Amino acid sequence: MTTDSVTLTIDGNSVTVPKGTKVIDAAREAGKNIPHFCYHPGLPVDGNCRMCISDIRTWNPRAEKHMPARRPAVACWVDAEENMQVFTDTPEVKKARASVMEFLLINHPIDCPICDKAGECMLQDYYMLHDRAPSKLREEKVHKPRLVPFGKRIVYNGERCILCSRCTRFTTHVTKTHELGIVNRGDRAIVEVLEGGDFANAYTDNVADICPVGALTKTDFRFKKRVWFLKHTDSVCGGCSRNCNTVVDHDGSEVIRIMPRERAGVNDWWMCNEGRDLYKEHAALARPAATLRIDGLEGGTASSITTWVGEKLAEYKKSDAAAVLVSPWISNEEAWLLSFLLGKLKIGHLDVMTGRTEGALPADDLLHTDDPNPNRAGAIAAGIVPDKKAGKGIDEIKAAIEAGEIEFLLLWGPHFGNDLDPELLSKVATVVQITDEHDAVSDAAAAVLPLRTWAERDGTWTNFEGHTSRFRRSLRPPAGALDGFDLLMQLCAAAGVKSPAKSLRDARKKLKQDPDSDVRAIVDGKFTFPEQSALYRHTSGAREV
Amino acid sequence: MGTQRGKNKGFENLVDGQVLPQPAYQGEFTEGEIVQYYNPESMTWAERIYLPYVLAGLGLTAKVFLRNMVTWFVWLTYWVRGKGAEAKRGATTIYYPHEMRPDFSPVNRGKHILTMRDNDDPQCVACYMCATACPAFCIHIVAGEHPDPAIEKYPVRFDIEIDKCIFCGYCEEACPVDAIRLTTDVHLVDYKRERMVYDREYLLTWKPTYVEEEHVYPGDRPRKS
Repeated sequence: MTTDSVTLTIDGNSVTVPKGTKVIDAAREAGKNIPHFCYHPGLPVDGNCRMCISDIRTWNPRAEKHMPARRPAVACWVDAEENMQVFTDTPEVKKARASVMEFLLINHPIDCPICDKAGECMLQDYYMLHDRAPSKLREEKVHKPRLVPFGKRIVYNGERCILCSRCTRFTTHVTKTHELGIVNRGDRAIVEVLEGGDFANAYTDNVADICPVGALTKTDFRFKKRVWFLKHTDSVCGGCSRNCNTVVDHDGSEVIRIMPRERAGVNDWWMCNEGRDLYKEHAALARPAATLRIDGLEGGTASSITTWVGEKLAEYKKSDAAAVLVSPWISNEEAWLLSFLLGKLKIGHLDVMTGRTEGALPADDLLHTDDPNPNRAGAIAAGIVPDKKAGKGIDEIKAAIEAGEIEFLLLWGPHFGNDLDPELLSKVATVVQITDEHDAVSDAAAAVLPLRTWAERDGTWTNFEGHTSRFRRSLRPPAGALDGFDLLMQLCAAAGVKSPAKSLRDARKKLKQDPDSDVRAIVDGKFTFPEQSALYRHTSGAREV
Repeated sequence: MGTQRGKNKGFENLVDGQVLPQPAYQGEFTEGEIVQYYNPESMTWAERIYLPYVLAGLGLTAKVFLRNMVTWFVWLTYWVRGKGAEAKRGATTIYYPHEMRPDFSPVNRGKHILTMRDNDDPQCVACYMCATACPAFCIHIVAGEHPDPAIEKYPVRFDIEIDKCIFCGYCEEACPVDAIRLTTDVHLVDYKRERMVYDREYLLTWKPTYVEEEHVYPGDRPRKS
């Protein structure tokens, strides 16, 4: 027996956990979810809601027996001890929990019909599981302030609040901004924005997520949709290079809201407000149409244009006059296949663009990074770097375009405008734009192919620390929008290069298996970059990755 | 086997000992063989010459006509005395839509109504319970912020596609605030499909008037004062 781990039994199941683990966490290890309101794995323990009350019996080594519990104790507060016995659903515990529920519901206005939390409310769920009894209260319920705005994004309803203090602990211990506090005593206690300040930090929406009842709701989601109509798809936020793991709540045609998804080491449980608003940007996106312009004529279908682009690429094989610029919104699989294709064609002028800059936020200690693009690290690691011998980086490509040396330029992905002046592109004979956003160049480029956005395709992104996250398709793409990976497969076929992967799934498998690729380590989540600052230095020249 | 089936009219070709007609793909046809796939003719001689049955049909029509006529004349004698409603009418048909049946059950489920508050606002709080319970997906609600913070949520739009509705009454049952009810009105007709979507203003037609006696149901025990 080691001293840094303890073994205890939870409802008869033995479980070994590190010393200092709370009983509620140990129970979760054992596959037992103890009901709770105030406990949250990302917040310090408070132990005020008493819902996780359990029969906890400690081992008395002198008497060599378990000491019978005098009264049930809260599982979120008690440390797991060696040989401890925990019973989570004995009749006494159930009775105690029903009593706790009754107390919590004494002054709760049962206004579930107008509450946005209904359907994902812990109070509703636990009432059905643990109480199911009518209220015994005959007096009028206590009235508290309702519809109190907490900043611009949160609305507080004091009557629904059960004072679990999750929100105040979030502002105290996670954002460390100390905006919220519980004031007054007894049944007059409410949550307030302290000192007349404004609740306006960049992570305010998290308090609505962690609120176990509908006391704190989001103005953005207010009365928009009942939660049981939502479909949930796992996704990744592309708002910055943190790649917060998210759940996209949508109805198949439009995104209703974006919620954070637990991912240890990346975003833990949290997400910033700007990332949640990214769906508005997505909805307002102007989408391009497949176009081919040759000799003043305009037309073409997506498949014929793809073939034309592929043949054009093959024409410029081993040529010094072709260059490819890739947006950092490309997925790892696409970047891997694109770099493979260009490697086979010996097109060495290849680099990642600066990408989006308009959404840049100041980096902070919690989540924000200074790069408002999701996958610069993954694209570089997957091989979107200039050829080591003669390849040109982005600055050299720019200089070559100015000098009129580039005849064929492929722009993959949106937001190239921060690197290239659209007027500069008139010096290039053939500009091919493959993007999900219609912009100034889409009206003049020789070929335009529409891509699917992050919400409409599958893929993986790798964040600035090397953690890879997978996003899945949540929305139906607009007619004609092409999947980036499928398009690259067709480009490979048109250029006469045998694709190393049969499908996206195959590519993901190969990414893990290919021993020469750094992406292997990325997908495993173990990759660390040698020098992080070098990664974000958008300088020309070959980079050692 | 075929003894039971052979008794049935029209299945005479299926009696024992006879070879049933085979489908074309199972065997070859011999030259000159006639395969009978249809039922044999089974009309009687009287049926085949039609005339007796034509006369029988005319007789039935005449019988009904005369009976109705006599009944109408009897009804007329009542009607001239102003007692038309008491007597039996000559025909069971009614002149819809000028005349409508009065005998629908009081619990018949028909057109929906939205109940109103005292200030003519909808009682509905746009909780979507009816839309959730609806098996025909015919209720469409858009919720909005009510100017009165005590009400908070109300339906900006409330549309029922009445031609999709199956009148199951689940919406009425699911409603937590008694905002939607089904009336006995079944006359839901229009010339345009688009007009079969009933909007909030059309449904908001009824304000409940609370009378103390109405809340006492037959099964209720008298309250102790």
